[in-house]
Amino acid sequence: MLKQYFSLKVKSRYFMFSIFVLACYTLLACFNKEIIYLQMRIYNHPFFLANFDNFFSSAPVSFILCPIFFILRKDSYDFFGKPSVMIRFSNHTRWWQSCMLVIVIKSTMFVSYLYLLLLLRTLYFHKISDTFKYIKIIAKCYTLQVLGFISLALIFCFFSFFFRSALAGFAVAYSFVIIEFFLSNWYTFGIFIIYLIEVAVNTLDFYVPLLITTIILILLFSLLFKTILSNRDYLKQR
Amino acid sequence: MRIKKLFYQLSFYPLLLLPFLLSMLRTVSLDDKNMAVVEINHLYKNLKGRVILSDINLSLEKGNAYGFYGHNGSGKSMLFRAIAGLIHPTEGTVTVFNKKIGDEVSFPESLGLIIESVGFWPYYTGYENLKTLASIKNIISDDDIKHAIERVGLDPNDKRAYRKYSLGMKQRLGIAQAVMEKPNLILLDEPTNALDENGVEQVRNIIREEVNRGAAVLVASHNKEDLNLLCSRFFKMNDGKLTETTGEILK
Repeated sequence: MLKQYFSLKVKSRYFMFSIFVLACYTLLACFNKEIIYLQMRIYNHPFFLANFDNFFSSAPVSFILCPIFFILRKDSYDFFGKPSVMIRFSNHTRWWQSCMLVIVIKSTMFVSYLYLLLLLRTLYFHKISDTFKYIKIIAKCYTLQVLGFISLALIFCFFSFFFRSALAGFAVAYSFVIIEFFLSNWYTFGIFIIYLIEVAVNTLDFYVPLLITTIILILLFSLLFKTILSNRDYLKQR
Repeated sequence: MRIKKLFYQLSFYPLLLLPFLLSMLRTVSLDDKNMAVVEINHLYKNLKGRVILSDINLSLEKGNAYGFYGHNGSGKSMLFRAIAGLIHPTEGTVTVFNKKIGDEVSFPESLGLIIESVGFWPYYTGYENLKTLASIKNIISDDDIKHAIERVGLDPNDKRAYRKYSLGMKQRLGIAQAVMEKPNLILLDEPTNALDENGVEQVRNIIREEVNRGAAVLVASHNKEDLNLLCSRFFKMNDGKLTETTGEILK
């Protein structure tokens, strides 16, 4: 099922559009190096880390990466939200497990693609050798970001199914992102999800507690959402 | 020598059990034939304080087609949703293939359905759409999928995307997805909607073939001619209440 699902998804226009927009976003810094140098001056980081921080800074995460991620998620709702699909799973547990598996795979693939773009940008600036120097930091950030996107996808997925509308799912999940964006910029603290995605290199001191808390929360909410959805009526799709 | 003789004598005793075993087999097959595919007891469904389904009692067997009719909003689709496990009863039980829906299983195990529009993926071909659906259960081959598409009068090699299909073609593809896995219970809500004369005849033939195969087919339709031609029992839905009617009344 997954093979068929992903092979069809690759043909989707949303998918092509998202890949293209993310590639364009990566190229921006190639035309304007100053934005990375600015980051170097503010945080006193070496070029490699400044490039990393710039790529995952709060504004692009909130206004480019997250919306694109939601656009990619819409396909999943279109697939798993159909009655002809649901009844073929025979039970809610199998259906939800498949949903969750797709969320995990997609979030991992999405973050992997972002890292590929980031590495290409690093290659463009002739700093690729630094990658190995910071491999531990990269691995930690990668893990937290995958978990961050899984959390976002979980919220999107739940509210889409709950309201039977991908737009409603987007509105709720994106409102989390926007609220976090303003809180982190005005009051200098992130709540949770954006904090994971725009993980700044110097906040990795909390890596282990963050990792454990996030995994526990994802598992708990996944169980809770599954229970709520399996008791909800499937009425007309909006 | 005596022991050997005794052994031979004993070896014939199981043969005495043969008539009993045969009668047991017959009982099982008879039970199977008369087994209720769908059993509904005192089903109620309320939504936002409104009674949608009221005290529905129903027992349907395999190898038959059942017609459901009634005005818009009378509760036909809601009843189908309840049988499919898509809505939860406020009161009462729905049992399909001896398994209580929402308790032992979430959705009936061998079910094909059309409720509202099937909502295929618009950018994929008809074949790709059915293949994606079939990949969930993974119990039929590519040839079975192609055969299902041909049965409804479509071309499995048609490279056009689903969004370019006419309404009638979309409806045909919906029928194909409902029957392609040879389910034992088929729920068809307005199956002949948007179909031309030829399409209507094809769908009627498919329903007859599915009934002959042994499936229980439930058809909800405003078209009484369809119901008269296809179904052996008729049910009228009126304000959430179900009453069985005769063929004469329908005519």
